[in-house]
Formats: sequence, C-alpha cells, structure tokens
Amino acid sequence: MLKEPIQIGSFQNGLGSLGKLQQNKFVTLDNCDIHSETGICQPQLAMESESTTPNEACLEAIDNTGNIFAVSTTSGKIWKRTTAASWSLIHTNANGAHRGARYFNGFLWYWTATKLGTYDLASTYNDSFATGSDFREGIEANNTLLIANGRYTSRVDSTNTFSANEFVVPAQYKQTCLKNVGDDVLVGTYVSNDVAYCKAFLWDTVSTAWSYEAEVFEIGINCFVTLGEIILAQCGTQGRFYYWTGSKLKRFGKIRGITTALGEQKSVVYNGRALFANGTKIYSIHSEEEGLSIAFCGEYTCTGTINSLIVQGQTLLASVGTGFDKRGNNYATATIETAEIQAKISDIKVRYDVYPTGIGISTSINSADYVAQTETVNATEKEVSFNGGVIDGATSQVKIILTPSGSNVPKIKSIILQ
Amino acid sequence: MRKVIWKFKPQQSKNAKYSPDVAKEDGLRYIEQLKLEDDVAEVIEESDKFVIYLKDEQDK
Repeated sequence: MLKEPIQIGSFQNGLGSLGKLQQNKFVTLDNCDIHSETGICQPQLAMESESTTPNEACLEAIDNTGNIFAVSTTSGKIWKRTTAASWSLIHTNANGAHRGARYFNGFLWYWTATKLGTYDLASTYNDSFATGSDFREGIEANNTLLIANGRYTSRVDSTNTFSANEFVVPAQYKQTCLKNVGDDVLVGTYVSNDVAYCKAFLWDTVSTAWSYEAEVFEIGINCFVTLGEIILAQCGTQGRFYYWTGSKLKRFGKIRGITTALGEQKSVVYNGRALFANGTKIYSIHSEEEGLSIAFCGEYTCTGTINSLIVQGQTLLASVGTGFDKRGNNYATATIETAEIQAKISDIKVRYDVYPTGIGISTSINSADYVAQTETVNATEKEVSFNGGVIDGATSQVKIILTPSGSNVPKIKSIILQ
Repeated sequence: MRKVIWKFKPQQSKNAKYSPDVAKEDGLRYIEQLKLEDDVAEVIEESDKFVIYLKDEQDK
C-alpha cells in the first residue's frame, strides 16, 4: 500500500515523455483543454463534419477575404469555401494531383509536383504558368512567394515573374518545408527515406548561399511549427520536435506513440496555440503563460485521418479525406490516463471544480484492460471517489473519462491515489 | 507573355560545387524541358541569368 497519497494534478504540464513511469504528467490526454483554466482539465470542443463536398484529401490556401481554396492531393480538383461555409467545385487542374496552394499578390497559386498554376479569383485559370521539378510547400516572404522545388527554392515576385532557382542547396537534399524567421527563411529538407540525416538551411532570401546549416539526425524535416517566437521543426518518423536556436536545431520534445511523415500543412496556430495534426488527432503545443512549461496535449479528434489544417477566422478546419471537419459547438468526451503506480491502491479520488456527473473512473491492474468502477460523489468535498476495496495488483493505472452533457462539462483539479 | 528566370549562381564557399558553370548547365537543361512542355518565345542570356519568355494563349 502507498504510505502517502499521490496527488496528480498540474494538468497544464500535459503529456509525459516517460511513458507509464511515474511523473507529474500524463500518459494520455485526449480531447482535453488544459490551458483555458491553468491547472484544470476539461473537455475540449469537438471536431465535427462540416461538409463532404471536398471528398478528397486536400491542402488549402486562404485569400484576403477569408475564402478558402482546397486543392486535392489526389486529383486536379479545386474547391472553394466561402466565409458562409458553402463549398463548391470551381476548377479541375489539367495537371492532376496538387502539392500545395497559396494566395499571393491577388492570385491563387496552386501547384502539382512540376507545374505551377494561377487563378485570378475571377474566371481565368492557367494550370501551367511555370515549370518546376518537385514542388512542395510555399510561403510568402519579403513580398514574394517562395516554393520549395527539389533542391531549389523558386520565387514568384510581385510582378509575377517566376524564378526557378533562387536558392540552391547541395544536390542530395530535397526541400520539404519553409518557414519565415524574421526576414529570413528556414528551409527544411530530406534526403531519402533510407537516409537518417537531413539539414535545415537559414537563408536571408537575397544571398545566393545560406547563413547557417544545421544537421539533424532524422529522416527529414516534416514541417515547421510556430510556437510563439519559437520555431519548432517536426522531424523524422517518431514524433520528435526540435527548436531553432538561431543557428542550430536542438532537441525539444516528442509526442510518444505517434508515427510522423512529410506533411507541410499539418500545423497551424489557432487561438494562440500551436496545433499539430497526426492521424485523427490534433495536439496542442502550448503554455498559457511565460514561466509555465510548454506542454503537449491531445486537444481534438477528427472524424478521419487528417491531411491538413487551416484556420478561417475563429474556425479550425481539417481536411479528412472524406470531407472537412470543423471545430463545432458541442464538447467532446475527454480521456485522461495517469502514469503507472507500483503499489496497491484502495482509494481513488478525483477533485473537481464543477459538474461531477460526467466523471468516470476506470482502473487497470497489472496492465490488464481498464475496468469501469462505481463512483461516489461527495459534493461538500467536491470529490468523486472510488473506494470499493483494495485494488490488488503490483501495478495500477487510472483512467478518467470526462463526459459532457450539453454545455455542462466536468472540470477536474487533481487525481488522488491512496 | 510570362517571364521565367534561371540564375547562374556566383561561386560561394558554402556552396562551392554549385558553380556558375554547373548552374548554367542546369539552366540549359531546364530550358530544353520548357521547350518540350511549354511555348518558349525567346531566351536571353544575361551576365548572371537566363531570361525566358513564354507565350500565353493570347500571345499565340
């Protein structure tokens, strides 16, 4: 038995990197909002299907009025979403599946692996405006559109002149993703799925050579994540993140248990939080205040595998292949899983702030499946507890399910094991 | 008419293998590719770049 109770709280610390080992972090946080009220965990709003009209995996661009253009990554189809959330097919690119799109200089620019197209937002499309070799992510930087293009960075300037090879990296690298760093641009690369190193290059967008190069021993830089003034590089296949020091990439952290791959539009900033999509889940990487540690947290779950994210006003949208999900107005069911306790426990208490009805306690003994327990509510102490006898195992883990009812959402402060 | 640029990179210590000669050879290959896939109207070689003009539908 535990000599002293263990109190697990500080939900703002987020997901742990130590697996089931004891720590003041969590093994699982799904659909959890751990930042709106620091220290409290509550269910997050749920992602729900908005439309099944773009029924293919898409990448998106947003124009200067909030219209979204979704370009299919499996065909030449281009859809438009108005600010009133009305989706329609507007064009089919004769060059086939897209690699990206971006609004720049009054035009929508969309590209396949080898062809850059333009749309004047009125009626004229040119699917073959320019030719490249391996287009990937494009960003706007210093009043130009930059697009990763194999070993080159291509540029469209403000006169719509296309320059194919503005910046060149050594021949073995392929540019994957780009990120503004002040006036400079950080260029992410990969070599091959069979080569476990790659580099990031910092380019001032004017010079012919880079200012810094930083090696990272991962299979590729998959995407960059803007975390306030920090730039993270999501690298490799095992969910690891590195941060840009100004001249190098240093280890930042990882999301345990996920598999990652190239995907330039898997990250957005939404309501001040950096979000990163993987599989069907959207994780936040955030601290609400300076001084608090930056936490990984599973905030949203989509209805399908996420291909890309985009934000329109206050609406978070995700392309899920069979359609688009949006953040809705209903709350999701949240799941919290604690670290493993190597002791018998006889008492589990969940201290709540409001709404005890939707707090469910499950236990896993010796790594067996979770078993739901019967809870007792003590409204005076604001505790939901299970004290149905000694849980007799060498190891114990606890899972808390927070089930909302309409706008009533459970908010919990800590979990006490004894 | 669309304008496309291919730059010859001056030799840099950080990217020494990508010399102006190599960049020019790459540029010539790129122009050959454009001739196969697009309607090249004119190619001008300047001191530091190729400037390639491509015909639009209305130019034809």
